[in-house]
Amino acid sequence: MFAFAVRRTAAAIPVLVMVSLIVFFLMRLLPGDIIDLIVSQAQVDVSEEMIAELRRQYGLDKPVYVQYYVWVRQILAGDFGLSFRSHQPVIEIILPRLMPTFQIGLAALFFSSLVAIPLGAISAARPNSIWDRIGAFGTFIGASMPYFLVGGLLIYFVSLQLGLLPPSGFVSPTDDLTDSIRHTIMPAITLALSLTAILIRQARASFSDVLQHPYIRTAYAKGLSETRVVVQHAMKNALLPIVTILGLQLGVILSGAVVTETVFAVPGIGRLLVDSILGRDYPIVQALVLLIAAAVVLATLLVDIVYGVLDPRSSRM
Amino acid sequence: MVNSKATHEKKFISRSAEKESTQCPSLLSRRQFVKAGVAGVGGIVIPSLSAPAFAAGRGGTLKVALTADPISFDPHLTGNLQGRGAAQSIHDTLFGIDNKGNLSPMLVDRWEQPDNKTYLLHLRSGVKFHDGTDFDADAVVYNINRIRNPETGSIRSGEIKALDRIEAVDRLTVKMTLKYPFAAFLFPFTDVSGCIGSPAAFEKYGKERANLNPVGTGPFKFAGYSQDTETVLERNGNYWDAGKPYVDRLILRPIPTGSTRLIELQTGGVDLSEGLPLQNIAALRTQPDIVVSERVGFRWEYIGFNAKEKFPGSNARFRQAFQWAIDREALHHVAYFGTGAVGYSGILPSHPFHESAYKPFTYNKDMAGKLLDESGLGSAEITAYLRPEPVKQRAAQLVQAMAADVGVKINLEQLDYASHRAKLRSGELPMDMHGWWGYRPDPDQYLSVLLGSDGSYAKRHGYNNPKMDDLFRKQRAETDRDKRRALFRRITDLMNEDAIYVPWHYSSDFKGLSPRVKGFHHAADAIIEYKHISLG
Repeated sequence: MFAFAVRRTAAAIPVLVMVSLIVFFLMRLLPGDIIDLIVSQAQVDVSEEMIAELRRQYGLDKPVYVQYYVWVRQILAGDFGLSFRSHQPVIEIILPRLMPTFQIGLAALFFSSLVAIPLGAISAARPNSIWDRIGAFGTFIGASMPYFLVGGLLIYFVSLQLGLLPPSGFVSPTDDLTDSIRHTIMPAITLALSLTAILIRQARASFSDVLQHPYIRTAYAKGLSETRVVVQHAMKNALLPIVTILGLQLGVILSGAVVTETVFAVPGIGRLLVDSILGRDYPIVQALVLLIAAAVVLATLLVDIVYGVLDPRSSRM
Repeated sequence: MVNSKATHEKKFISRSAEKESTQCPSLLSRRQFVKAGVAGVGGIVIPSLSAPAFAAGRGGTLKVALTADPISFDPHLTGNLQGRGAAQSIHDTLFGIDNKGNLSPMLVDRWEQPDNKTYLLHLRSGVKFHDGTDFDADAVVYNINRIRNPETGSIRSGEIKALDRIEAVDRLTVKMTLKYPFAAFLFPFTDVSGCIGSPAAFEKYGKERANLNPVGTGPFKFAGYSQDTETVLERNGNYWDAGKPYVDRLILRPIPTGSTRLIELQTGGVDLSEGLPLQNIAALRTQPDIVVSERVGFRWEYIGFNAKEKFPGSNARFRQAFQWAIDREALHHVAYFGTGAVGYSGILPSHPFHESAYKPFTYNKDMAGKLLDESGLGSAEITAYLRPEPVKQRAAQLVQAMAADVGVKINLEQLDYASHRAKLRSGELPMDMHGWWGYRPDPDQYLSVLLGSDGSYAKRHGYNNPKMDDLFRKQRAETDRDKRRALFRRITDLMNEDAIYVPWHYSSDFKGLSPRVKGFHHAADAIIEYKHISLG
């Protein structure tokens, strides 16, 4: 077992090296760099000597492979360097950004499960009923509405017309829990909408599959009510594929965060990533992409190890 | 154009009324209202001056929605408008700008020019930095040398490249000697180049940590910052301008989406907002709970051509045709929703050198067609690269249609901002639709970049005209204001003849205010002077 874990961990290293190479060189393939952007803000001529000096200060005067070597050596020493745009340590910028994105992402998962699973179950239990139609219509709406539109409409109606929630910003739950929740609701709903669309279809398919099983017929034959059959008997089995799909929505949450965090002015990693790419802030982009990749690799690694424990056959490979 | 201490009520006043509007003299200081001599700009909502005897109330927190994060507070290293604005709240500048566009006293109390290459600056006495150290001539010399030191890596060094020597004559007198006569030399000191920080603090924090530890003499002290969340500034109780600032605390929140900023303003989440969405302006002007402030001439829109051999822009007739081929009025109304003003020169309407009657071109397709025939290019084709700016994209599509009308095919291509800059730097933009961003207090500051043969834009556009260089040399050596103005008119005439830049519009900066915000003045460079603002 231990040997298996070591083997799997070792296999993750080339993946991370590949990711680091790809993000490092892709960023540098983009036309324009931080020096172009700094100079563009000067509103005055910046001398060639000053541009050369800035290149030197940002370490961009060295050949790319040397820059890569310097960066990797830094990371191995636990130093992700300084942001090009703000000169603050990269880690100090990234860490406070994780909380808002995770909080809103989790809330979105919670909202979408809360709506999609019951709606999917009813749609499956009563095909072609009004609930089924509502579910289908909801899917259609959720899948076709872009985040910026949903976010904009929510802000307009909920904040401006009804005055219920603050339009933008983020408050940490450790500072003020109620205020934190109030700031989370609208971005989470915006993010949840397309998730819900996917989940309703998944839940409906999953439930209708389970409801065909003989044990469901047995449950009905025992004289149980439809609600008890669906909730107590079908639910457990139907949830398995739904939870699997839910786990795969991490990508949707991160890509959605890019837009929702901009619309709602949330200081999360989605907005940071986009701003840093557009701002050619190489150290931030490299560190963020590497961290996201490391998180995915780690998660897969854990799953593999758990599988190995649960099913000894899978660790013999 | 909102420059009253008294904003007890607001009403609509027409452009002409606004031009005549009297100002509250006690409030005039720096970056003061410059009479915008543009006719034909629609009604502007400004607070009236119904109560000139209004005494500004003290206290409260002013919350402001910014379009972007300030990122750095080091005045010599900061780049964007928000960073410059925040840096100027913390650090006073050496000079201000008065309501006629002239220099006015700030940290420099009075100044003299013994000859056309020497300036003597007499500094305000009794001013202290936030860390308790004294503001004096040595501090000024330290700051200017910090900008000039290549190790600092300050892009502002280009603004003061005419400076040869700077020395402290005595405790409160600074002497600056120039390499060559330069009439516009002192103007950069009204902006971040003139921001003076505590030398002790610069030494203590070093370059890397100075950006988040700014120590100036300004009306506000730096109190807290969290990137993309908020910047907190607190009132400097020992500010030299007695009684100011009025508010106890400033909270600057970057909110990137325009519609969200607007709703924050409408719901009272913020008291003041930068950059309102253009399409909402007309509707907002009729709303009683928001004051819309427009400043015409923050940006100068032109179509730039590349005169290098391989581009169609190398043909002067082809370039000149655009002076007649574009319908500036249509662009003004459709792309800009009637905001800003139509323009024919590079002198912005906020500047005293601007001539509102100057209108050498009309929309004339026949004239454009004739010039194109003379160009001998036949059916010309040219590519314009666009940055992700919705307004400019709309304008570019209109220009594309107008050019097609006279037989020129324009291909529009999208790039992100940095890619566009890289293309511009390499001199590979056949056609530049983006114009000049940001008001500067003297036209030399940007026109020399665009038109002087050693200017970076001029080089990138392949432009070089000895006659133009001669005019620039003359206006720089000229100390008489009227003669300088006349020289700039000749520069404008020559620019329009060469048509490397075809001017068409002056775009506005917009700010939205809650009616409780008093004393707001809309500066030409869009930077807010928070020290005059109070909350009613």
